[in-house]
Amino acid sequence: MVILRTENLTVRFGALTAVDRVNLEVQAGTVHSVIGPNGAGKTTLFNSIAGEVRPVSGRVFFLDRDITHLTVYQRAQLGIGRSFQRTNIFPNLTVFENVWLAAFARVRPSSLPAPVPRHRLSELKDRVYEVLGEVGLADRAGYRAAELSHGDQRLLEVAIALGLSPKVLMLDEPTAGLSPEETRLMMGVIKQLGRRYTILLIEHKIHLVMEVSETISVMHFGRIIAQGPPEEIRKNPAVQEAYLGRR
Amino acid sequence: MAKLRQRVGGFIPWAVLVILILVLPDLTRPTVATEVWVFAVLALAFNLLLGYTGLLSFGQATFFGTGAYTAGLLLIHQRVHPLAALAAAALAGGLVAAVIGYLCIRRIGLYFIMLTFAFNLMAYFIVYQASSITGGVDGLPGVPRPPVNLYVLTWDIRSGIAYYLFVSLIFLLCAIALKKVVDSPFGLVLQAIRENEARAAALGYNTAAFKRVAFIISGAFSGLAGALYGMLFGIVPIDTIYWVTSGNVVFMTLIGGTTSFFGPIVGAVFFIWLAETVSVRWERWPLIVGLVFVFVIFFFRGGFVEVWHRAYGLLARLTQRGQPKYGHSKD
Repeated sequence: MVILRTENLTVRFGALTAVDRVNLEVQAGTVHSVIGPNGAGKTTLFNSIAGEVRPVSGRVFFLDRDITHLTVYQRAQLGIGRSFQRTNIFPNLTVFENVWLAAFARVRPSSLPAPVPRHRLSELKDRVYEVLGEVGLADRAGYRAAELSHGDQRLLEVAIALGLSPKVLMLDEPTAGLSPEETRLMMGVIKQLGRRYTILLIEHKIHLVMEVSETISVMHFGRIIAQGPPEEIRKNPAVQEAYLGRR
Repeated sequence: MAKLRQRVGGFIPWAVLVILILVLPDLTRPTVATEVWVFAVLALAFNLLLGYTGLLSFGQATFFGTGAYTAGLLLIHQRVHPLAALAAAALAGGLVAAVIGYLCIRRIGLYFIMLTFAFNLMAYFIVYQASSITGGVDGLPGVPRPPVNLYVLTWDIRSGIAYYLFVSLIFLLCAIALKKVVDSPFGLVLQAIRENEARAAALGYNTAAFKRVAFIISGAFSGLAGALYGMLFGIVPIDTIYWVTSGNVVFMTLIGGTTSFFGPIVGAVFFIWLAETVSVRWERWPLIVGLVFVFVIFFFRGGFVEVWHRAYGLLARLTQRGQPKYGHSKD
């Protein structure tokens, strides 16, 4: 089943076509990676799926529903959870509160300050600790987010997206700025999550995604130049040129 | 045990507040003491926007004045129950805030601030022009203070000290209500918006709607404070809706501290005390406010409340009983 699909999606910034007629299909229950050199348009594609960037043409479908014109928060309410390339957390709130806000958003995003029933609160609390356990941050729940190391903040970034219990988990370069050791830890977490979530993953380090992905799309100059399982991508001459030709 | 200590710790500021309410009339005139708690309500309402939501409203006098005139007119012409006047003032403040908030929240940062300011000026000129209703620049005189009839008993609040207790009680109820709001899930979402609005939206929160609701709540409490002010002096001066009042609230809140719930109260106590006692002896008292303000901005960005936190931190370090240091940064 296709859970997320783009149809001729095109995004322009002035004269620059950052995303050029992209057709992407994400199968439910898989880890689908979008790779490509820096500046290939991966993050812009991501942002236009999440609703932060408006496409000039093309459409985005989520569970066969056209979501091209929905706002960021409406898409999140439908079940699209995302993390950001540059750490994007609530620095002066605790780790617990960061994830709690995500879990609460899934339950009741209304803006009315009505009280929340006690059993709901305890369910939320359990959910938060479950998520913190999944990324290995349970023992840091009481820390202010700003006090965490960079590696832990990246994990928190993923945990916030998970807190939404998303139908699609979109991760934008979760390993950005991590040490080799932290990168290994992060990829291990993603591999675990891949068993339970549909993941759309952006990465520019090609070797990292080979092991975790079912499908890989390769972007270059705003276009998707190749798509398929990891073995095929590895052998694809166009990909080798885009990536290896530069070295 | 830690939970118990936390719970006891949470009560300390309230206990201090009650003691302050009881001793303040002995330290200064009842009118000044009453004014302190009126402005404390206004500053708390303002800080819901600034400290918790990250919105600097430079037009809080719009709602304060709206409440003051609404209550004043109702009390003069309809002789309504004082509590009904307060409720009407809160309603009017909330309604005006709903309209102005709806328009201002479409813009962010400096533009938001300037819009709240512009609406404040507009509100002022409306009151100024409609002098047949509002008394214009002379203010609205003759606001009565009818007894508070509670069926079983009637509370005469005409005397200065009786009205002081009435206002103190209303203040405490407002403070408790606002504390409930900021401690609720709704309050946490407001803080999330302050911290990182884009991220809050990506989680599925309609951040504009949350900001509008915060604006309405703030406007309602500001309007209620305005009503208390008009009843205090028996007149609604046009200053209640003048932009300088908006500025004063910003001052007292920043001096007291925006990062703590109780900060604005401390700021209101300090500011009103200075304005009403020093000004009698020395007319250039705003100079002191200015100097304190500069000092606070340079050395204690968290306001007076931070002085307390720093002293407490120092004490904790000296006695080795402080919180464990969390930092384990690898970078």
